Amino acid sequence: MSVETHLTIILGGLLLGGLYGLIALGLTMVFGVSRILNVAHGDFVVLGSIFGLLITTFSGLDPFLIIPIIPPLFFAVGVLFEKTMVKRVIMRNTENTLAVSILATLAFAMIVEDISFFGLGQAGLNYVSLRVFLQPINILGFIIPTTRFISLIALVLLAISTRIIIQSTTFGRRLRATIQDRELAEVVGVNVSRMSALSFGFGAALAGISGLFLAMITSLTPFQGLHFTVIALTVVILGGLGSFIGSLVGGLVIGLAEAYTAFYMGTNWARVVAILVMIAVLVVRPSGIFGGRR
Amino acid sequence: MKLGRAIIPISAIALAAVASIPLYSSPYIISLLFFLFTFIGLAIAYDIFGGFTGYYNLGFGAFFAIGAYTFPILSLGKLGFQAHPILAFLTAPLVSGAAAFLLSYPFLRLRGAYFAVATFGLIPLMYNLARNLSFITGGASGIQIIVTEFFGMLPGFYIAMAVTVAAAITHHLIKRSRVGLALNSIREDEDVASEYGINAFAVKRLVYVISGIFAGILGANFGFGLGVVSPDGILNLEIALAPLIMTIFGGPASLLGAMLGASLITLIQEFLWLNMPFFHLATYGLIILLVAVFAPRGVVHIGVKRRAGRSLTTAPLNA
Repeated sequence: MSVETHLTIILGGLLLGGLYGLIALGLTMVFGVSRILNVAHGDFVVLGSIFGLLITTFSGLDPFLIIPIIPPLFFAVGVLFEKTMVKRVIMRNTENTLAVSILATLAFAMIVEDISFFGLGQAGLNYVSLRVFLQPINILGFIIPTTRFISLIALVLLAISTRIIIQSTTFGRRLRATIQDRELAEVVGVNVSRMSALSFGFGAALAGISGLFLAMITSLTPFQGLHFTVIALTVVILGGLGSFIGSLVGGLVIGLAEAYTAFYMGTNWARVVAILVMIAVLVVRPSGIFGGRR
Repeated sequence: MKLGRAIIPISAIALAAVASIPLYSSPYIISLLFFLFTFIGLAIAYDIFGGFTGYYNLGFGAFFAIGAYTFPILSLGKLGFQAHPILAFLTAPLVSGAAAFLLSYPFLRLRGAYFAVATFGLIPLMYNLARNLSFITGGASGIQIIVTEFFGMLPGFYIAMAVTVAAAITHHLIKRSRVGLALNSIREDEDVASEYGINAFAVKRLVYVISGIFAGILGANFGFGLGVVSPDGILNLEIALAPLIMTIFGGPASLLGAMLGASLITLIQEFLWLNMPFFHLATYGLIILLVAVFAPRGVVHIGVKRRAGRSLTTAPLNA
């Protein structure tokens, strides 16, 4: 097999893995701040690709040009989700919040998936895809698929800015403080309730932008939302809770494993890889690769 | 106490009455009873693990699917040897029980929300395995089951009923036993239970396997009754999550709750299937949402005020 084939697979795997890492990071941020496991998190990913598809179809813009539109839009969606679904519906039950949150967000996921499937079907679309075809470029004799290469650069920039937001801004400091110790954060003046809304917005923004990129490199159906939540959880089990580096490394492991499985055994098999990896990790190292209690 | 003694003759008469319904009713009623008893049995089987431990086992449908597939795979000789149908039928629960035993090692190390979402991964895993291993499972179109001597929903209904009774008796016996007490303490506080010498992992594994065995035999019977086993028919979300929703709706760790929840949800679903051309999944989601918000401890506990220091079914789900 040629070097180019491997390069293409690795490029695809890194891209996919980076996206999984960002999706998982959003999931753990939300869980860390609000103690709610948002089962519908993966549906924000799918909604991101659906929104991307709709915007590009109706405005004729290039998918790369709408990258700046998606994060603020989904930030608003996430905050809205927190203000309505979480505060009004889930928090009504004070005694059994986590159990109710699993059921309620699962139900929300099913409703969103069914309605978006119906809507897309009405528009004559069975799957969501935003393929951009650009001529492959030739660097030092290697043929590089341009779309994936540009996506990877955009993804690296996205990951760096996410890291800066979490590590160096006031918002990031408050976010980390709330995850580490909710009560103590409140004592030192962090508005924990507001952080919950912002964390949902932040998580949804990460999920939405990941969905846009995913639609550019692969095609997905509305029913894949729950699948992405399971993948994100696998990444969390691999990489540890709330750790930026852990999420990224866990995501890259899954992404590369999926890319190679898709090449050697077909895309049908790529879908089971994440779950098999999760089972294997739980058998070998129940505390995950990066440790931490769960 | 009087009711307690009378419950055996009363339920025997009720079962005999239900068992005689097929003698004078239409095939539609028989199929409805078949679904009803399959889901009551599944809800009770789910409750043996999920209700007693307070864990949310979103992957329960996987054991149902393993049973459903094992029966035709063995009886139709998909693995190269053909087993007698009855032998294949009885092997199905053993295979799903063995799967539960093996899967208990990775999954029962997780708690709370992690357990719920991780076990949910089993549903897409089984779905994709069923689709991809098409030389055994028939792929997306599934396997037609043609067992000439015994076929159809009528024997399926009687088997489902018998399994449901067996599951109910098992449920009752576990609840009354030392294991039941251990499960109770695990649900209240697993760490404290372990401190006091309960082998939490072994106890959880025991009921996880029992729950899986019942799911397996009901799965085999379900495929046998329908006459076809396919990924979309056996592993769709509505079937996979039904037992969980039913037990929570009815009231966890309660035989009456499981029966009530399964009956109500099955009838609601039947109504939806007959009257709504689409949005089944969305409507089902809406039902789950309403259950989660208004009856998170089940309809059997509606109106029951929580006494201080004694929780009924609330599970400590903090990870």
